[in-house]
Amino acid sequence: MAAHQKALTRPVAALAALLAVLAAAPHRQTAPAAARGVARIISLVPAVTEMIYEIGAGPRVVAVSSYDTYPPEVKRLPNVGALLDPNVERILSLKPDLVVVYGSQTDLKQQLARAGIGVFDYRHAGLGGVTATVRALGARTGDAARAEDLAARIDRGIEAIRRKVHDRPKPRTLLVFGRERMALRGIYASGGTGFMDDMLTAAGGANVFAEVKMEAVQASTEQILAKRPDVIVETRAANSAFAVGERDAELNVWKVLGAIPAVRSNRVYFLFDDRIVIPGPRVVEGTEALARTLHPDVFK
Amino acid sequence: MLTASDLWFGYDERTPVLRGVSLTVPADGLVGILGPNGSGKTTLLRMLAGTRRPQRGAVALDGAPLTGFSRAALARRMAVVPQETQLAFDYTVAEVAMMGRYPHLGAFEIEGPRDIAVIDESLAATGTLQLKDRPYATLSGGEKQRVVIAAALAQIFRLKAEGAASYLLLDEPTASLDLGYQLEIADLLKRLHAERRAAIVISTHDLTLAATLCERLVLVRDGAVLADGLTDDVLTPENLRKAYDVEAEVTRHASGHRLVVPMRRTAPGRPQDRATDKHG
Amino acid sequence: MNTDPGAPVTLAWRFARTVLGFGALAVAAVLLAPLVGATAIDFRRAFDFSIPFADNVDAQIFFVARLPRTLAGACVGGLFAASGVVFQGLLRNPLATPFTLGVSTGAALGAVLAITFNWSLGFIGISAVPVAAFVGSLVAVAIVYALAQARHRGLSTTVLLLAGVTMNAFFSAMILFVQYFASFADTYRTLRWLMGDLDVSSYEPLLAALPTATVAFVVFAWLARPLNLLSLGPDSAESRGLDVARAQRAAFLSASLATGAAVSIGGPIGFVGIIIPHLVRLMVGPDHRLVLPAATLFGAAFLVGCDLIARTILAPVELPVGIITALLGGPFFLWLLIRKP
Repeated sequence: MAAHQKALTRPVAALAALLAVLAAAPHRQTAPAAARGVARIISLVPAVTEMIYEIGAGPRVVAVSSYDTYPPEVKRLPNVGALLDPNVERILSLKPDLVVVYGSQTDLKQQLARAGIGVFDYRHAGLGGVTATVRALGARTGDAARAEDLAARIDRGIEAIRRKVHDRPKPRTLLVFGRERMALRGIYASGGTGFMDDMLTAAGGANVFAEVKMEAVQASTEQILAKRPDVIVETRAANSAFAVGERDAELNVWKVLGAIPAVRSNRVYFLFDDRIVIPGPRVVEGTEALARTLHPDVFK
Repeated sequence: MLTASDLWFGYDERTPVLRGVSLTVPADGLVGILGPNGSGKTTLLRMLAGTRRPQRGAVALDGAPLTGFSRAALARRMAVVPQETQLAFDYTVAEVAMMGRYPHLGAFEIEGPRDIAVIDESLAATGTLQLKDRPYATLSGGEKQRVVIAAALAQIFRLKAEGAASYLLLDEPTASLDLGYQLEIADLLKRLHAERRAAIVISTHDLTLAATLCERLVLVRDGAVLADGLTDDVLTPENLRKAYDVEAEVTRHASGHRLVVPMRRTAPGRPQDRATDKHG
Repeated sequence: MNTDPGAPVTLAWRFARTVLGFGALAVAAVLLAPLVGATAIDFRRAFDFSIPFADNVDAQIFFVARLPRTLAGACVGGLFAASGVVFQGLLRNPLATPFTLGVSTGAALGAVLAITFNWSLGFIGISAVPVAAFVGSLVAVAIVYALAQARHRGLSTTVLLLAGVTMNAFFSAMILFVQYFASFADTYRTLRWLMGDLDVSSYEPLLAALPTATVAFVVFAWLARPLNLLSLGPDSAESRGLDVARAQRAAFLSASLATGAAVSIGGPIGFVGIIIPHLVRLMVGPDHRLVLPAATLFGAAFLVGCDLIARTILAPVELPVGIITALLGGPFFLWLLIRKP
């Protein structure tokens, strides 16, 4: 090296070392578990709660959201609100090491950061996001190995379903997750992106709204008639299920669209199953339930 | 003849607005109800028109109590011109005048050629026929008041041959007008009276208007009648002191107009002469 | 109004001309709108009655999806526009809307409750939401009416306005309260309901609203001339022989019922009840005997047109119709403000 270059190396090296240290310093919002130890976990996201229990970190959970129902153990835990109404005081008073929050809860995240509490930032994504979340979660709680197992199991399970329905013709499916009771008004169906659409594809269905790149579509009767679905699946969380005595009446509301194949061949189904609406570890069973509905001949 | 007998009225128990008021309006009269603000003039006018009922006493038209008339029948005999008329929407002069024909038409009846002739005639009588198609809101204060008077005339319009008299009641007809328009209205009312279109009753606190326009005056204060009779007899310094707590002189101007010249306040009068809250 | 010898039939002539003109517009809208949409229909197939209806997609798109929707638009548009006219006449204020006195907020609260708590009238087999909305509107009307009636004779329009505005604020707060406890999905669904939806898919909601609408319109017809008189002030109207208290009661109740019926069919679609009366007055003048029929017919055509835009402009996605009426209404008002001076 020339003399002037040699003279520069030391300050440059020092500067480089400084930058490396700064880059490696933990970001306040995501303190690595290794540095702190995660012994007390609070989860505001039901899907992630299920993951936590599945990877063996269940005993460390001290509180859950107001919407958590699975596994049954969580019902005995205190609840700290949910997406719109997280109870910050309660969360802080329970002295957690890690709080699982929604990506959009920016205020909550700021408050937790100020208190120096670790945050797991959950962002709702497609089906692939479930395993990605499981792996990230495992890394945070220190259960990376079991998380990897779970993720692999989920991947294998979904793959198995895919293979089973692989060479079946894909029925055109309308996946409805909400509408007015006893009426064809305010119909919300899965659009061509997102978790539900991914499940539908894995289950061997062809989303009638595949070309609409939104997660939710408000479907009008004209649109449904034009799309001519072969199958209509109405999914709801288990606690929003139709009472048994009302199911026939609710099925009948579709009769007015008699020209669509799903109605003509009586392929309108209700699936009141949390496993379909929660993007958590039970998503394999949920997808299988959906696949069973679409391809009954394959799943004996 | 319009007769009020011993009218009593109060919005609540403690403050009567009218205390035993009696008066008579002859079928061709030009009567003024004169008094300070809060003396009950507007309420009295509404009772004479039949739109308010007295709590005690009664008003009779040609001997028949007003309560015996249907709303429409009464409205065909008596019209009220309020102090100010505010329109919520942009009606034309013709449309405003046509509203006066309401009591003459059935529920779904449309005004016909006779109604149009009547409002044309009424507008002409008040000198506003040329304004017929103009929006009411664009008129001057005096023009507006003349249009509303025309509507009232259209309301009580009758052919000369019919016997029963009509009554035109005006509530402070010049109070919100500039001096020029005040004279305009006063002249109009005089002319209408001369043409025997209707008996005219005005309520006012304007001494000059009462003095120059009215044949008969009813002087009121605190809901009671202080004096009632020909203008010359009523407009005396003594009565004016009782009504207004004012020393005034009443003379005749060279032109023939009566003149009231207020000079100074007197001490506030006896308790029963003192003004109450505004209910005028 | 002209003063030439043709004058004797002026009002009758203007009335006939107005009704025929706006009527033609409304009829054209109702006939043409179902022919247009995001999906291409084979019209020969649609009207080929030899094909069983249950197998005929084109016929179902026309007769199940589009035609009821168009008729709902006409019905709701007419109801909102006419009740807007009546409320403006009652309150003597051209800025009054069918929503000013809290009726539609009461209806919205009913609907929000039904949607959030998944109420079902399964045992009767009808949807709970329109029923809850209508009941909500009746509750709002009853409260406001009782409050305004507390004074002596008649309805004080000042108290009516205050009571209505207060109930509006109260019901709106209640709606927010319910939404706070609702799940995210339910909140989303109620918000979308509040933006309006005319996709009725059957004639039942329209038939259900028919009795109320008919009564309301009969009363409106009678109210036309009294509203003219009232616009000069209640005292003027009283001295012209109008039973002011009765007219005000009739106006308030009929317009509120009409609004309640409209909201229960399609949700609280805004701006129709204020744009249309203004536009119509600009075209035919302020005489309510012309404004009421014209506003009804024009309102029907207008809402059918807005819904047509809503369901085609961003195909394959459909916009809520309330967004289109708002996008048209806002600039319209700015224009009104600018052109005055």
